[in-house]
Amino acid sequence: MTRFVLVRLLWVLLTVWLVVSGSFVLVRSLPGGPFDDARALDPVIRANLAAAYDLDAPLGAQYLRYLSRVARFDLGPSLKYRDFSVTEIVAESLPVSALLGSCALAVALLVGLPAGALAASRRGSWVDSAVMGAATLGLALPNFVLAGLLVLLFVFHWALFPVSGSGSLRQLVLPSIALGLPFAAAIARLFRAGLLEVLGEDWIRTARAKGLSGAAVLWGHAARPALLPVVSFLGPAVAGILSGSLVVERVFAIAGMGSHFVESAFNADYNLALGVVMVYTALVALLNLLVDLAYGLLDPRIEVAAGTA
Amino acid sequence: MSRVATRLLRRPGTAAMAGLLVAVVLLAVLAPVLPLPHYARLDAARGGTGPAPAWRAADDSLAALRRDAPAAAALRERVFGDRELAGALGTDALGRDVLARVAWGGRVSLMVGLIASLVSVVIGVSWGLIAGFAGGRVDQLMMRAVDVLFSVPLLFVVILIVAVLRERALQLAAIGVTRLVVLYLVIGAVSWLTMARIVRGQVLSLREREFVGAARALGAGPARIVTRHILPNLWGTVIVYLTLTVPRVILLEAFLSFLGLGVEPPGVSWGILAAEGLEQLTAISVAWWLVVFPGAALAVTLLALNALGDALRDALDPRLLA
Amino acid sequence: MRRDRVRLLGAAALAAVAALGAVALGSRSLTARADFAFCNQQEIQSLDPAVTSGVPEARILTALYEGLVRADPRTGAPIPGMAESWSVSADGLTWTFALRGDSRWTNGDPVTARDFEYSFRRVLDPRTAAPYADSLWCLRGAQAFSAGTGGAEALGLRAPDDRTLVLELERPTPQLPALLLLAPLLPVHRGCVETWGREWIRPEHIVTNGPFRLVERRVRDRLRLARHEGYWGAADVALATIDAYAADGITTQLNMYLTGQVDWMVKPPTSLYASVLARPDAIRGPQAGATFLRFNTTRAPFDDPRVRRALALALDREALARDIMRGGELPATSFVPAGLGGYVPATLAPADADAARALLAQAGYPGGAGFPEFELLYPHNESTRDFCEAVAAQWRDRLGLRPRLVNQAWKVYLDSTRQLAYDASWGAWTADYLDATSFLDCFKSGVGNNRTGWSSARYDALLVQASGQQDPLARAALLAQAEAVLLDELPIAPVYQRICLNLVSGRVQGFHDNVLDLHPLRDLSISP
Repeated sequence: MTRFVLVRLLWVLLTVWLVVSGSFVLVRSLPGGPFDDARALDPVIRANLAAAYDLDAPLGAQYLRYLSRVARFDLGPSLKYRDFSVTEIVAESLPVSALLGSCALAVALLVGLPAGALAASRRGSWVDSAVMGAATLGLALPNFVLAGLLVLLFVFHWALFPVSGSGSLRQLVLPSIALGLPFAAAIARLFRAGLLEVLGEDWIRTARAKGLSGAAVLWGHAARPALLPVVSFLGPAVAGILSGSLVVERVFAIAGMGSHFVESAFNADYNLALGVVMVYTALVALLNLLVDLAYGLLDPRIEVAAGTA
Repeated sequence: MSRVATRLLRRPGTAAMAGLLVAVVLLAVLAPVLPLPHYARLDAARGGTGPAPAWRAADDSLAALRRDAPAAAALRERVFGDRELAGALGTDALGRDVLARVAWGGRVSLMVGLIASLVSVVIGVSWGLIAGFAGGRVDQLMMRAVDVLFSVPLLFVVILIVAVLRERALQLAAIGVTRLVVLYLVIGAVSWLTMARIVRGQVLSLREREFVGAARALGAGPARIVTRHILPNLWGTVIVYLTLTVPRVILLEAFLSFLGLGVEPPGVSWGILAAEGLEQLTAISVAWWLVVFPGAALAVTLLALNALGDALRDALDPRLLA
Repeated sequence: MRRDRVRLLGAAALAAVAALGAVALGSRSLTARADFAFCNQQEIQSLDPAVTSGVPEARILTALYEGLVRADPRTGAPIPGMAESWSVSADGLTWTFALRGDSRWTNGDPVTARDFEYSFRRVLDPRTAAPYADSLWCLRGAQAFSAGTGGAEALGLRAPDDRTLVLELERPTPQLPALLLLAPLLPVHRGCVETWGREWIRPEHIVTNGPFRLVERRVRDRLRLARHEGYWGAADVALATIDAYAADGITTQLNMYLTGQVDWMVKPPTSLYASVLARPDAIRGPQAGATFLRFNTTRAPFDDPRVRRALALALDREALARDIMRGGELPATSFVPAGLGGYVPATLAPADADAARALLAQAGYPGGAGFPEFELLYPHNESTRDFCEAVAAQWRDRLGLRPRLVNQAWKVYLDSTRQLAYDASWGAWTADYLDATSFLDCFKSGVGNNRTGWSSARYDALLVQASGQQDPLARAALLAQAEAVLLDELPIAPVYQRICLNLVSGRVQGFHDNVLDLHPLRDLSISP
């Protein structure tokens, strides 16, 4: 088990290193440097700026210097927000994104699981079709369209929620729904499929024969193994929530990591872009590892160490 | 094949989904011949009005069309004369007709969806085929690469790649690679992973089947085995996952356009329309038609494609290994 | 057994994440609303004036610091700030500033001339890498010092005593007081900078001398300022606290204004001009800014002045300003906008489509035949796109040309125009300071802001002559002559003069419209 975890951690490091190296070259290929502005810079000043930010060394030297800094957990200064280092910006925005992400995940689970259970227990009826139809629609709708509709209805039509910002929980309601609903749809489908598979098994019939009620059978016995596909979906779900947050944070003006990333790509803020990509990659890779571990622990029948694909 | 078709059509929702998809595709394909105002025509005086269909004389949309696509213009003139349906779904702040923009935007979004998906199919099938057929070390290596790529937040890398490549477009244009082509390639290049995994799984099982063994016994070389025996059995799977990849690709294009990295104006795509619609939502003017209609077009297309893909997958179920 | 452990682990993980977030939120909990709040367009680059170069930065920095001069809220002209008065020698090369003695830094130290000596030297120091260092290159020895080839001792910068600052210039610079309004030239506290190094701008370390001091800063959220009692004019400062929000979505800012969260919004979205302009709280006026089309004079056929003139004359500037921009922009009649402190601009030829067609035929492209397909480049922005589409349509319809629109991200657009990698492009320029040279200096030969490859020895000579001219009227006449040369050869085709548009709540007093769009926070107040 420990060997498995260590090997996987090495793969995580490798992935992060690959992504960061690739992005390092990519950001520096963006034509137009971080200091260009409407008022053109005199060559003397341009040279001074390059020297001050260590951008005048050859690319290889810059790369090695960057790697050695990262090894010391120093992600460098932001080239756009001169007063802050990338580590500080990440430290300030990551909790905001994390909170948004957890709320979205909570929405996904709280809406998806009961919906899936409902559809499974009323299989074949109109309830089943309605819930599954809504789920397919939820999967199809892009989250920014959903965000737009939510804003239309709940901000302007019925003024229930504020339009933007991230200062209070109330401001996170709409963004969480916009971000989490598509995943609620996916979870509903997976849970329903898992439940239907389990509900047909012998030991369920035994439980029913013993006199247990439908709900008790469902939640007490069938749910646990039926949750397996949901759990294995959590990895891609969290990755999807992180990606989706790029757009949702923009629409709702939430100062999270996602909006930082898009901004830094447009501003040619090399260090910030690299820092954010690195954090996201590490997060997703680690989460996938956790999910695989949880998967194995949930169902002792599965041999995790054998290396599931 | 016909068995699959009958199975498909037996499900109640599927026929409706297929119909919706056909309707949207028709709208997009026929956009040049439909009697609509030009999608990029600015008409500030009529800006910002809600849905108010009016059958009126064509201002200069026909003239503009004659310049860009004379054959289509001729056809349109023959069928509809010199009139057009304006403002059916409203106009945006600059007076551009929403229905026209949704139709033309559909052309771009659907085309990107189709071509980029084809790119991803080509890459994915080749990858999975080689990995599955070669087996052993090669297979291990190739699938490990897929695993690593799976854990990379591709959207971020895509954003960077598109931002870089689209700006190098001036050099790329010299070799005929326009920004749109870059978009096709990049989007296709990040969407092939699932396809590769599925195809590899399929190939692995197909490889062990009797007819392959028989072919080998008869002295067929690997190329022949692949083309005559394995590939034909893959089509079902490929079509199913193609139908499921197209919506994801369309979504990715919409995402990129929303962020300003996709199709560029005056070209229009559904993602751009959604972005513009959201931009113009304020407490002063709640122009709901700018958000609802492009959103509906996107939703309907994606919904239909997903539903069809699901139905196809269920219909082909016995052929797929779990 | 295992399952329970897993469930516990999962719940703990989720709880930890939620707790992290709650802590983050809690630390952002809103205190009572400030007296005055406004949207500052974006998070500022820095609280260190020397390294900044933007307008949002200037708004905050001119509230936190005060320079030798400050802006008159009604006209934007320089009026005494930390300097009570100034005088210039007969040859125009020596300026002497007399500082007031009653203003203090937020840590109690008095503000002296030596602070300015230190700050100006710091701006010019190559190690600071200040983007606006060249605004002080009028000082003797300054350019060499910035390039690293000269020493600080050779700088024409002296503080003979605490209340006198002497600037010795390379050449006469009559617009010096207007230049000194630039935010990068604001003073910083030497002790603070040298003690704390990079950290000196943190709220707990920073020392400022302006009408307000920094209370709190949350990156990409907001800044809070409070009145500084040690400031010499504290009695005139009506606002006790100010919140500057950094939300950068323009629709978000508008919604914050409409819901009363902020009292002032800069630049409402152009797509809503029609509805915004009708509002009583929309304050609009001409700006010292011009929008024009740029031609790459190093590429055929734009190297032919007749072609450029044809393209310029073919534009219906009235229609573009009225129907596309719709903000009340004024069609251009010159390059340098009117209203720059007594300068009378030269005249641009009025639009004339027939003359344009004749010129084009003369240049060898009758009716547009043979004219190559070319690209009109513009930066990614909604109103710029609409404008360029309209321009392209006019060139297409009136001259039979085939322009193709290309857009690039802002930085990439800047790079392309700098490297002359374009055919024709959109361009805009806003005055840095209140003088015609702020515009005309852009088109000197080989200057970075030129971006057209155009050069004219006569133009350069006229500008040099004007700078040596002490008499303001004679100087203005020479500058107008230079502008006439520019408007004759037309490396750019001016289209319209920009406007300033601000949405200001009715309860705000002291907000005046001026061409520089400067609204010092020091002079604002809230009526009860």
